[in-house]
Amino acid sequence: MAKKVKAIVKLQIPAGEATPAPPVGPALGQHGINIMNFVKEYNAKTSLMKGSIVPVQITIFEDRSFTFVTRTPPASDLLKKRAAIEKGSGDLRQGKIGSITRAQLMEIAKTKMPDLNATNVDAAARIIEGTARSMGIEVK
Amino acid sequence: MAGTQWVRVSVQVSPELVEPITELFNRYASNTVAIEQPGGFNPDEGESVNPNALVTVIAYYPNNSRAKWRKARIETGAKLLSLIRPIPPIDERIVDSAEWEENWKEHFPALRLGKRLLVMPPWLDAPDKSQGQVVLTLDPGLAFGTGHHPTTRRCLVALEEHCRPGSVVLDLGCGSGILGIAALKLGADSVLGLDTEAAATRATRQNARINGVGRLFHVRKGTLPQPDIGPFDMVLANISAKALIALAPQFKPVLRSGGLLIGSGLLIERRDEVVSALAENGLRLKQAYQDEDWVTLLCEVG
Repeated sequence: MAKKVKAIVKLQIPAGEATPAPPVGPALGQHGINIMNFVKEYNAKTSLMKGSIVPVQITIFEDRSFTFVTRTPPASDLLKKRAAIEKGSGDLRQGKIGSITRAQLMEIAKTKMPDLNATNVDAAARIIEGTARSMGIEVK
Repeated sequence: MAGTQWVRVSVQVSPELVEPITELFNRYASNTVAIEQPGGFNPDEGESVNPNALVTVIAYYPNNSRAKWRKARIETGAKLLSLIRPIPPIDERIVDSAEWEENWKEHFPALRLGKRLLVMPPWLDAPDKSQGQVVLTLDPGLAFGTGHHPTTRRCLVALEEHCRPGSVVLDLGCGSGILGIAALKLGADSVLGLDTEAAATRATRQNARINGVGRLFHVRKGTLPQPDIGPFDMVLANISAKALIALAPQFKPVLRSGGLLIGSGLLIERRDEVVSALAENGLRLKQAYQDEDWVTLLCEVG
């Protein structure tokens, strides 16, 4: 169909838990799109990833219809969960604040593969390891 | 009706500032950031978002006793960031949840088209005087085709004028299914809907069911050519100039002699190009409808 794009909205929403509260409601409502329709579709699509934050890109067309694509959760979110820490280190000089195993690193790399600019899992793992280091998480 | 009050903060910045502003807003506005890029492009014509366009970063926090503290932190953060690169003043206003909870529905009023067509959202009751009217119930949402776009409107009007009872119709790029549903309600025998997007084929099936024409509306994921289809009395193709040109050789083989094509989704400046591509492939222009900057073409096999 003839779909000229009106705007693209990017949000980060807990998987399976989108509600019409901010940011979803006002961000989509101001473009006059059907909020409940989005909430229903998003929650259905992400229900298996519960516990993760899933970034979503919503393309809104001129007739107020829309499509959306979900991305993999941010690497920092996956790392924090595996290392069982609430947030990354604010001061790297203070030493490591948590650790994950190499197997866990590989698992995160596999999850993130579709959204990374990496040709294989080892390259993806190196990217994730860099993020881990910047957060004060050690890979054992 | 009044709802909960929120403070909406927003700032329009260049793409390289999006990440630090997002981080700042997320920290003091409890992870409610929305990042908005401007549109104005048509992906079906191969266009994409302008990577240098200004991006709006928006966040929301409750308008309660902590609001002042959050505001002060965000302002301090923005001042620090502007030491690296200037940041325009952060816009702040109070919004009420009632503004978005129900108000979006105002954008989808009942829509009268042509002589008899009435497009209704599901939350409105069809008026009593709807006798003789062809009512389409459409839940606006995923997949293009709410009826509120010039191309869809003109296709519906052309369809009302030219869809003959008993027709077999192909709805190519069916989106929400609105055109195929209208064809069935106007007396078509059956419709085949094709769309390359799974969200669209799902939306078409659902909308066809809501309108009581699910059994007559067959839906497949894909485009032309397709094995074992046709011949059709009418092909509806509200897609884009690019797609109409690329698909031009595919229409005649699936149409009956004297069959019609309603082609749309093109801006006025692409009209001649599309008309000649269709003419080269055996489709003669019968009529052109213009609505705003968009053109809908009615062509006949001949």
